[in-house]
Parts: sequence; C-alpha cells; structure tokens
Amino acid sequence: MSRLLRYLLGRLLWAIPVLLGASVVTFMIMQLTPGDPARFILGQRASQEAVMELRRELGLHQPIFVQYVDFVFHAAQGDFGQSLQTREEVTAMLLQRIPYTAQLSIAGLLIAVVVSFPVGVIGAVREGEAADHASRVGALLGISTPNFWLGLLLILVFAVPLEAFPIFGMTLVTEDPIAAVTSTLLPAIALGTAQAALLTRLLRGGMLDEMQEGYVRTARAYGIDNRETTYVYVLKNAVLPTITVIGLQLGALLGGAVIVEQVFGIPGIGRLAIQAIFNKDFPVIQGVTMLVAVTFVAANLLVDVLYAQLDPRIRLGGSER
Amino acid sequence: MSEDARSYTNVKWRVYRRIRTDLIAKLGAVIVVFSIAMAAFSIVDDFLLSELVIETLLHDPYELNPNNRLAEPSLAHPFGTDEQGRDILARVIYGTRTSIIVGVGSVLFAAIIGVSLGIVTAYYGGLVDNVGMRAMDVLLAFPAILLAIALLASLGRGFTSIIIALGVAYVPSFARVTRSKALSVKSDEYVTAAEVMGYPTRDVLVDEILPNCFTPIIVQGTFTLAVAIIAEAGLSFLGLGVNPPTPTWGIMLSGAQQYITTAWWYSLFPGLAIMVTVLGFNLLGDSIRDALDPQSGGEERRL
Repeated sequence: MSRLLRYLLGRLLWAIPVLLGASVVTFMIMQLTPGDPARFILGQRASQEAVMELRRELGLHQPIFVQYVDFVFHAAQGDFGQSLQTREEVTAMLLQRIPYTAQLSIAGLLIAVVVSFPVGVIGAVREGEAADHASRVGALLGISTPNFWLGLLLILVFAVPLEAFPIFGMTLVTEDPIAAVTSTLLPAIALGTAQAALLTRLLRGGMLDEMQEGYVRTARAYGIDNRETTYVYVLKNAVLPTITVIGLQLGALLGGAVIVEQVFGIPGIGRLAIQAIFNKDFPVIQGVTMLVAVTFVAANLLVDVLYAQLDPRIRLGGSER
Repeated sequence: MSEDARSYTNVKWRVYRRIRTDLIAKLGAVIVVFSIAMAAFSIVDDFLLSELVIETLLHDPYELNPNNRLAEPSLAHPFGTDEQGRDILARVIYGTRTSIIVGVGSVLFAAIIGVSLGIVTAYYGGLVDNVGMRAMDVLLAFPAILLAIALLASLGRGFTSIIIALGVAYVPSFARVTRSKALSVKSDEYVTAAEVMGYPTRDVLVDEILPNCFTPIIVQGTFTLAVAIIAEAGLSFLGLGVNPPTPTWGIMLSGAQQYITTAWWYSLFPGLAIMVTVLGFNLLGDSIRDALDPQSGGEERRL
C-alpha cells in the first residue's frame, strides 16, 4: 500500500510543474497578441486615456514577471478577474456554464463506452468474419467524421422531423430529467461517435494481441471453456490499457464539446470561450483555458490512480513509463 | 550510409507493394491523390487562370446569383446552391485546397519541431530530455483543439495563424514518437561507429539517427493529417479559421447550419467532402502502418 501511495505522490508531484507550465501558456495568450493588447481590445478609435485606463486595469503597466506572479497567485485561488465585456466575475461565469459541458461530455463518454465495448469485442471474437468487417468499417467511418457535421446530420435526420428532439439548447438533469435525456442524446452521439470508434479499434486490437499470449494457449490446453477465457481473462487484460486511453480521450471530448456546443446551441464553457474570443475578452479566455487544463490533468491523475488500483504491475513496478 | 539508403528504399518499396496489392490501401491512396489533385487544380485555376476551367465545366465558385438562392441539386447544380446562389460543387472543389494546405502545413510545422526535439532529447538524455519532455507534458495538458483555439485568440485569423496554431498543438505527438524510436536507435552499432569515428554530433543526429526514425514519423504524419483536416474544418466552422471569401468546407457548413431545416444539400455535401478526404488519409495511414510494421497486429499505437 505504501508503494501505491508513493506512486500516487509521484504523479501528484508531476502535476504541479505541468499545471505551472499550463499557467504560463495561458498567461502568454494575451502577451502574444501583437501590439498593445489594450489597444487591440478597445480598437483603433479608442482614446489614449481609455487605453491607459485598461492597461492599468489589466496590470499591463507592471513588469511582465510581476504580472505573471499576480496571475498565478489569483488563478490558484480560482480568481481570473472580471470579464471585460460584462464585468461579471469570470469564475462565476464558468461555474454557471460547467454543468452543461459536464453533462454533454459525460454523456458523450458514456455513449463511447457503451458502443465500443460490444462492437470491439465482437470484432475481436469474430475476427475476419462479416461482423468484424462491419465493425472495422464502422470504426473507420467514425474516426473520419467531424463531430460538428455529424451533429448537423443528426439535426437534419432526427431533430427536424421529430419534435421530441430540440434543435437548439440543452436541459440540465437537475431541471427536468426527461427533457435532459432528449436534449442531450443527439449532441452526445455527435460528440461520442469518434471516441467510440477509437475505443473500438483499440479494444479489438488489444484483445487480438492478448489472444496471442501464452496464458490463453495454456488455458485452452487445460480445457478451460473458450468463452470463459475470452470474456474473463482476455477481456480483462485488454480493457486495462483502454482505461488509460479513456483518460486521454477526456481531453478530446472537452475539445470536441467546444464545437458541438456551437452546433446545438448549448450554453457551456465552449460557447463561452468562442464568444470571448470574438469579444477579445482575455480574462474569460484565460479562465476557460486554465479550467480545461486543470480538469484534464486531474482526470488523468484519477485514471492513473484507478489503473494502479486495477493493475498490480504498475504500483509494484516502481518507476513509471 | 548504405544501410540508411537501403532501409529507406525498402520502406518505400513496402508501402508501394502494399498499395498495389491491398484494395483498402489502394482506395486510400486514390482518395489522397485525388484530393491533392483537386487542391492543386483549384490553386492553378483560381490564381493563374482566374476560374476559367471551373467556370467552363461548372460555375464560378465566387459568383453571387441572388435569383438562384438555395436551389436543390439538379443537373446544372449537382450539389445545389448556397444562400448566395453560388454553386456548392464548385465551392466544395475549391475548398479542398484550404484543407490540404492547412493539413500539410501544420503537419510539416509539427513534424519539423517535434522530430528535432525528439531526436535531441533522446540523444542527450538527462536534463535536456527532462526539460524537453516536461514542456511537451505542458502542451499535452490542453486538448489539441482547445490549445489551437487559445493560440488563435492571439494570432487572429488566416492561413499562417491556423497552421501555426494546429502545428504547435501537434508538436508533442511527433516529439514523443520520434523520441521513443530514437532511444532505441541511438544504441545501435552504426551510431556508435559514427561517434567513434569522430563525426560531428549534428551529422550523427541527421545522417544516422534521423533516417532510422522515419517509419513511425511517416505513420504519425499520415494520421495527424487526417486529424488536422478535421480540426481545420472545425475551427473554420467556429469562425476562427481562414477568412471568408476563401472557400472552405468548415465555413460552408457554418453557413449551412442556418438553413438546416430547408436546404439539406447545403449541410450534406461539404461534410461528405471532409469525411471522404479524412477517410482516405486514415486508410492510407492504416496501410502504411501495416506495411511497415507487420508485427504490430494490434492497433494500440493509434494514439
């Protein structure tokens, strides 16, 4: 257990420099903007006084190092300042939007997992047969389809003729569970399909690799039921590496959510970020960027913990990678 | 030196044989060649011939025709027309170049930086390796598309911005792939031999290690191209990509969104173009990987 603890501590210590680095990148978004960001935000026609005022507000008159320390100090406390557009606290804006993006991403992940497991397993078990070919073609189409176009197609085919599915907006589970399901289903399919396809390919390949292992032959030689070998031992060993990938895919899901939210008019953090970019609302952009980085790193930490729990080779192996 | 040359021609020959014999590989290669040809055609036709060829065969992709808004697909307009009365097929053809240029550009950008970084960190190890790979971890803390969006927030719109933004986002994958290959290559005998013979480090890296890392880099490049084409379309869809008069599939789809209830063809065809192109690169990537790496039956290297 102490080894597991040490492993976890190591991962936690890895996260700190990564997040500090992420904060530098986030901070640089405004610094990298060519010319004077204050002038950039206010436009060419703004008076010199207004520009100076904004520079003071953004802290741009201070040395860059002081600005950065100030940014990190506040960001660590969850304070990203005020929106330049609405004067709202950025953190409050984020908190209001998080539930939508969370509901969409979790639903998307659920669809990816629920679809990929049976399809991937059938593909591996029936290798070379029609079912396998179908699952491989499906997976290839899945990774080749842009999520926002799939979203448009789903609206075209389902939401336009059927009133049950709204074309625009999303209801939260906490407000109305049934409306939440119907309003989340189509965007979640749009978001989850590519991930489902990736997971399918991974699981199928993993299982086929596992089936080549010595223990499978041994189990067969011992006369253990083929099904038991496949569905218990092979599947278990093939699923483990897939879990790490799900952690990585969370990033792809969050990134995809930004675009899918735009298609379905979902008021999540992605839509907030895009609006902020058009309004040159840098504090909001920084808030969203940092929030996503923290979520992504935390999710991967969580997956590592889970993985270490499930696979003794990791926590007993000592060094990582 | 002859070793490098041989392994390189061998790689090309294996891919070539695969494409000749495998139907799937052939399909992928045909799609890829076709989309590159379309992109080249639209560049030549647009900038040298001022839309002469496409106007003769189809319609001017830029010409507004207010009397023929959102016309259904017909013989005259096989893919229908958009909200300005422009021919969608002509615009889809012209849109190919944005996808290909941004895709190839960002992959080249990512590959040049990522591969150099991967080789240097693997060769020197120690502090260099640590710093380089931590930097990659930082970039990986952001989902690629979000990193690109954040960078575009300060770079603004346009071809160069989007190539840089996507390029930066894909650097880590090239760095990691190259590093892990270079780590195994650097202890090979010919590398040691070159070092012992006193070759400058730069030559060892470029002439000995780099050519032997080509295989995974080519595979990574093909798959990243597929991802980059989807990403470019997505960013253009969001309004963060290239500037509007340039025909691009992403911008067409964002226009189509408004007319989703009335003009199905407008959202169908540009998306189909993206899917087919990306499928082509994915098929080719699969085939190249299988041809170059027969022992990897599984697909766990997909990410």
